[in-house]
Amino acid sequence: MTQSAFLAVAQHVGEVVESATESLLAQAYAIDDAPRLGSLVRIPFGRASDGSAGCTYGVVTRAHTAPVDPGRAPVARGQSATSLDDIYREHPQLERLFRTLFAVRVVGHGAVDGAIVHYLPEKPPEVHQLVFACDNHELERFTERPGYLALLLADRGPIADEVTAAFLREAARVRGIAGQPYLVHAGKAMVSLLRGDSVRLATLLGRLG
Amino acid sequence: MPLDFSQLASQIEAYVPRFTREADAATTEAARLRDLMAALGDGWHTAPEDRAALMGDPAVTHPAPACPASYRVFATDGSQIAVDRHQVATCYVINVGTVMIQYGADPDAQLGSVAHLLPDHDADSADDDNGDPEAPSPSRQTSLELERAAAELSSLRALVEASPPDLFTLALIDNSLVLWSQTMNAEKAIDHDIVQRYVADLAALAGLARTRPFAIAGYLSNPSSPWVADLVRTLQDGKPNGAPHPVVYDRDLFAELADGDRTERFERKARMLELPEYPSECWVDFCYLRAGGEIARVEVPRWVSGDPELLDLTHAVILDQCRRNQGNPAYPVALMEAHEQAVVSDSDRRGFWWLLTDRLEATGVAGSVSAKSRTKRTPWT
Repeated sequence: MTQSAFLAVAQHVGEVVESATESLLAQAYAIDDAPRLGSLVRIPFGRASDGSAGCTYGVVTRAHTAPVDPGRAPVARGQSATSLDDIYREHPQLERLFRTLFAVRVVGHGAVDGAIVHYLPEKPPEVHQLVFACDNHELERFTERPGYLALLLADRGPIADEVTAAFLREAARVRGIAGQPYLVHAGKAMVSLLRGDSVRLATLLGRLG
Repeated sequence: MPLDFSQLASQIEAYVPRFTREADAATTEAARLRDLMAALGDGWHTAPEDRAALMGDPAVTHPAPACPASYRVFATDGSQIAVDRHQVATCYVINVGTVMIQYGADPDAQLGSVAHLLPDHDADSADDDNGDPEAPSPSRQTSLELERAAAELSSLRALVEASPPDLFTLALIDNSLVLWSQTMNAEKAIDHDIVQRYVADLAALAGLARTRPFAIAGYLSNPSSPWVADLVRTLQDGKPNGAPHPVVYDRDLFAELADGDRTERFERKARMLELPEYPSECWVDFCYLRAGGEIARVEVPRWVSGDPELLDLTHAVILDQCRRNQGNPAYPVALMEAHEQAVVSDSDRRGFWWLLTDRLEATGVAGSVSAKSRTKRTPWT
């Protein structure tokens, strides 16, 4: 399946609301409905959003749900409820008063000819560009070579290594029985990239199991 | 310089005894009027100049009826960007917050807003007595408020018309259902375009109620209407002889209403409503209702107040709306959300004027933003 054909049938999971060269912020279309931590997403370039102008690849690094209006503090609603469903039935407007945002770390891009490269694109994605979840095949293709690790490990945020570990676990899972050798291969690449930071390396490797 | 609270603090202290004295006098007067009201018996009658007329036994109060498990509520509320003579063009914006919330088997909610850019009709009129074009114009303020109220009702009508007729539906606004300004002459106002549109929308909503389970109500929090208190005073004390009396609002008169109860109905009397051309389906009645800690005035058209089942449903849904707004003062949640949707922030306001200025300047339309306004945009020390 060509990239364009795939985009035509894939369901987008969010929309870019802030964009920068190395990261972006996207809004999910329903509250609490962000893509999983560490999952791979694709953001096409161009007004057509069909991938014909290439795309950006990123990894979901954080999700956050908060009031649409930051001036309105949420209050507890469930004193007489027995479940979350009770609360939403009693207060249907709540789903409209919150929004879920997710942050994406850019880890590569797809060229116009379909080739995948593990370095930053020339421009950040357009604001309001659609964000698509990558399927297993695309994740496998993106992670064929470990070049993406350099950009992932460059992030030194407080949960950056959790994100890297989650991403690698998913890249191994989609490979089935080839997953374990893949993790060994990725681990070796990280040894090289994290030379001099054995504590961080050990922590990361400990999260791959 | 910012507001100097140290200057105000001493002035507040000086005001406290006066406020206390007035509050005590009002409490005493309200108790006296309650006693007078209880003693009236069959003595209720209404003179042409009274603002309210009793429609039943004032000793009767109505407890909260059962609320249906499934219902839909619509609410609208408006805010505005007022005319600013320092800006490039004299126009204003009305922003109407719109809310639909559906409860029961298929819960849902839709929140939104509708913005209207309107030309300032007052810009060309010379109806200010002082003839000073820079002076605040009462008629301009009035027309903005009337236009806003009309826009709220118009949006409410559009929402109801677009909804399926399956569930009991209550439409709420936080205004009176009588589009009326004390500064308006009723005979002239009835022909005013805004009033005509408002009455047409009210009549259309009355028509919708013939095809679906539907009611509309105006909910006024902390109402300042003294109509029933004035009526009782007039009936028992005779016509005021000019001696000042403590101000007693109806909410004080009915302060002993039990939580959830409503009073008997009263007919709303206003000069405009008595004009022969004012449609009878737009006549308005009202009652007072205690929701939580507050007495609210609930206005409904005669076709609602004259239908006991519809009036009970209206009462029940309003109380249910107040109950659901936990964590906040008792106030219908749909109205609260409509207000939040309508709010125009300072940043929105600046954005609008910037957009308008930019667009007009790009087309070469003559107009100027005042030096004062430009200074406010880029303050410096």
